Amino acid sequence: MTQIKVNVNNQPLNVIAPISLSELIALKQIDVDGTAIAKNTAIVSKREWSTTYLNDNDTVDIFTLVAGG
Amino acid sequence: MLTLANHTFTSRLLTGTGKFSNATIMKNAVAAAQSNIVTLAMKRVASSSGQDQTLKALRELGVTLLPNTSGAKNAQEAVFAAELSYEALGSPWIKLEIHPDQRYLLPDPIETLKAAEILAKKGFHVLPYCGADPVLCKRLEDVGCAAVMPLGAPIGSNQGLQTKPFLQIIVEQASIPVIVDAGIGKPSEAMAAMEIGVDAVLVNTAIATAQNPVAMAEAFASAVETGRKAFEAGLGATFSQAQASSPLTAFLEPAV
Repeated sequence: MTQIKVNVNNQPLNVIAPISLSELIALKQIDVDGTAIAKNTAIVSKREWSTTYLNDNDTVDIFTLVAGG
Repeated sequence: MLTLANHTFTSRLLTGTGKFSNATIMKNAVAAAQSNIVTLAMKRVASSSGQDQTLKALRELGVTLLPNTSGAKNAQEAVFAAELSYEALGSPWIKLEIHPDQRYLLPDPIETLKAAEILAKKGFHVLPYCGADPVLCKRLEDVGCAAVMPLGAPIGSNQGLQTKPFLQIIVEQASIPVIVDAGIGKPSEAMAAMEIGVDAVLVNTAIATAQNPVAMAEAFASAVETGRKAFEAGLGATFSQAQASSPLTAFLEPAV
């Protein structure tokens, strides 16, 4: 168990590795439905979230659907 | 019936979900509008604020979700936004919108055409927000868009059908559905668009910012239905001079 520093939506975040994208979403209490993730600017499909682990200095962008016209 | 990318929809009124005071009013308004297709936007999750309730409310209604690419300033960003929304919802529907200018939010025709071609090739059902340019609309059709969405007036301006003569040309030439997006401020304007034969209209601001959004949604629904009925009934011709509706023989003269 090591602590790593990642950047989530432009905010630094310290987490304990290993941590997958699924675990990150659960940690941040974000609904899976309507959410998309890009890791280091590459989109990661939902079925790969549980097997995609974060490394030190990774950048994660989490997007969600909101009201809009 | 409105047919888009081989899917049929009973309503010709699409609604947007922006600017409502809360998700419950939005949901009730969408239900009152009887819309089958509803737009959403995509954004980065804000760490501080609570989760947006829009998606949850729309899931309960069971409508087809049409995420947009609002915020994209060029084709590359729009394609990225479309791919994100595909991952988020698992749905190929995308309202392509690229408007780098913040003052008028007018769509960039060159970037929109580029992105439309890429997304259509990837298998998206592309509905591009575009200027009321008949040539551009044909080009968007050629690259495989499911419909075109020319504007009536700038987004959120409630100015109505400023582009009406061009919309008529677009309708005349199009082989794919034409959906008037942006600018419609009153039910009468939605009805006027339907009367000239557009296939559907998208309304957001006019409903969301009405004093009573639910009642306004109902008003738009009936206006769209009436306008479509009038178009299908075939409007009478217009003339520059009077055309008598009654016999012109002077009735006081003795019958011959």
